[in-house]
Amino acid sequence: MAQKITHADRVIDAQSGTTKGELAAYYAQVASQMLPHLRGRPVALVRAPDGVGGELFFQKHVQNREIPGVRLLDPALDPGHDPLLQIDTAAGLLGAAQMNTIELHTWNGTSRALDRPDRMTFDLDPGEGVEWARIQEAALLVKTLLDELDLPSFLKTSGGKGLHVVVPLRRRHGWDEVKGFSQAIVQHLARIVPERFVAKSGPRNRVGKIFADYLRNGFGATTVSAWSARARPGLGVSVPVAWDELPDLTGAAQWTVANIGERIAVGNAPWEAMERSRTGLSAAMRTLGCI
Amino acid sequence: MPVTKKAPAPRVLWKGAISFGLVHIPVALYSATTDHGIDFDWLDKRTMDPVGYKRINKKTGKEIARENIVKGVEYEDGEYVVLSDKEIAAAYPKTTQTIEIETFVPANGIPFVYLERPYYVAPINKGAKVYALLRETLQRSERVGVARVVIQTKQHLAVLVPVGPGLVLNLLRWGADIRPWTDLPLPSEDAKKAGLTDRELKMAKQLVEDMSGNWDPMEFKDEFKDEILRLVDRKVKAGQTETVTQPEAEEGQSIEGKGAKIIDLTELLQRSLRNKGGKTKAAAEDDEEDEGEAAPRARPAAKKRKPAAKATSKTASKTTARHRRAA
Repeated sequence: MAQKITHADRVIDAQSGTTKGELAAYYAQVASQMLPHLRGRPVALVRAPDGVGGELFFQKHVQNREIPGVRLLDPALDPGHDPLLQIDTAAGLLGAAQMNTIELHTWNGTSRALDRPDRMTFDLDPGEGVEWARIQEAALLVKTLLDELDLPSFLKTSGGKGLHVVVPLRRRHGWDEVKGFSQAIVQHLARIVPERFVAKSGPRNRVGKIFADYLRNGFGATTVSAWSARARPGLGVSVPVAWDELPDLTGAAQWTVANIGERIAVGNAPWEAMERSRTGLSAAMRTLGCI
Repeated sequence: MPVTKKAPAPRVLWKGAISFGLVHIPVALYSATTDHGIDFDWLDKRTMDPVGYKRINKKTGKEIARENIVKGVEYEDGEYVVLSDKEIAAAYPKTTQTIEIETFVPANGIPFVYLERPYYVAPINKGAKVYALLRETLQRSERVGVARVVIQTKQHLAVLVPVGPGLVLNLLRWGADIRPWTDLPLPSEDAKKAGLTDRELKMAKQLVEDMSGNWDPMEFKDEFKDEILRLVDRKVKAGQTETVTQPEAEEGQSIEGKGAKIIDLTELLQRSLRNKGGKTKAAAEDDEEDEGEAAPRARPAAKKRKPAAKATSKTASKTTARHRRAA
């Protein structure tokens, strides 16, 4: 890991006092946990040259200068654009950190087979004034419905305000089908439990409620990766958790770059069953009445 | 985590920890009981449609919208204090997620009139060893733990009892809820003063010994229930059945906004798929888990008296008014 971090003393988050060098050190420390989540997937970077609170740049494609260690993918994968990016190595991760990257977002598909997604993501995004207990409850309700559909699901903190529920898929359906189905799930939630869920995005629709964001499931859409820091005051981190940890979580940013400490040892263990849990969607679509 | 649907695992009702001194045992609570009573659902005899409740204003007899209902406590005859949901919520005890043992008392020290609902307690998160240690210690010292626990916004007194391989948490009635029996015409505790002779005592003891055996719960059955089930069976065989179609639940009417419990919502979601794909799931059929805190069910008498008040919000989603047991 020869990546040099320049301006390492520059404070990038005033709230926690974290410096660029400390964030890079964080990424070096969690690389072995994080790389399995990045590897093989197109990645988008959120860069904050002026730190948290400054202007953020969301970068999906290569721009001007290549980042050392960051792979450029076949331009044919995303026609009409510069090549997509992919990070498979710790060097690439630190290269991104050197380029003032704070967040790393990944696609729901892999670059080797980008025609079909291999997971479905629900981003539980609380509206104004939704307390944490409600978000926990919402995650449990999403899991209840997924369980009922026989779809194994996995949980992580978003590092920001909400929780992410991930369903690993067998690659049987195309992007539009998966997105359509994820929308049907969210609509079902909003229909059965209108007190808690809305099926439309937009802050006005969800005052006091939770939007289970299914829009992350389209082609080209991304969600922040597990172990990514967030470009928000305090630098929260998105961390995989087991469902039975849910009641004890104190917030979506329970873990931060500053306090991640021992949690790194737990690592991806809560998601250990993910690979063998991959499921097709046909049966679930039938149950939900989509086909 | 993949959930197998074949044999439904017992559902966790509560998670937390037994705690006393510096000891901390992570545990989950499971319902120890299940209600096998018979539900008599109400049907319209003319059409065989399900019958449900409507909330009405008792003065006008007209239906009343949920948002127009507030909660009041009658502090003296006809005089009420109105409390907002917010005020009520603020009075809920703080959930500590602990079974906080306050004292250990002799195992036979709690009269059984205090015993209320039992829950099974099982260790979680590698708590098995320290769980076993507590169980063994209680057994050997012949003591039980008196604890406080908050389950779903309600504070309970409870006793933690070692039973075979496990611990059972039995909720206790509060002392204030037990009626004194000093006014009952009970004979003197002194056998002589009660007028008993040695001969009578000896004869009675002999009779009891002749009839002695070990307690086998399976020996005893609810005969009323069996009789009804036999009757149902005969009628099914004779083809005397009726098909009842449940109307779709009205959107947004299904649950109360604020007070609704998470368990109701999960059940609602589980039920929501039942009519769709023709999947039958034994797991979700078993809806007794919420018995724990469902106040409307716990007091059949109160429910009978004021059908329109509280039970409605729960039953509205079922669309058919349910009556536990005939009695």
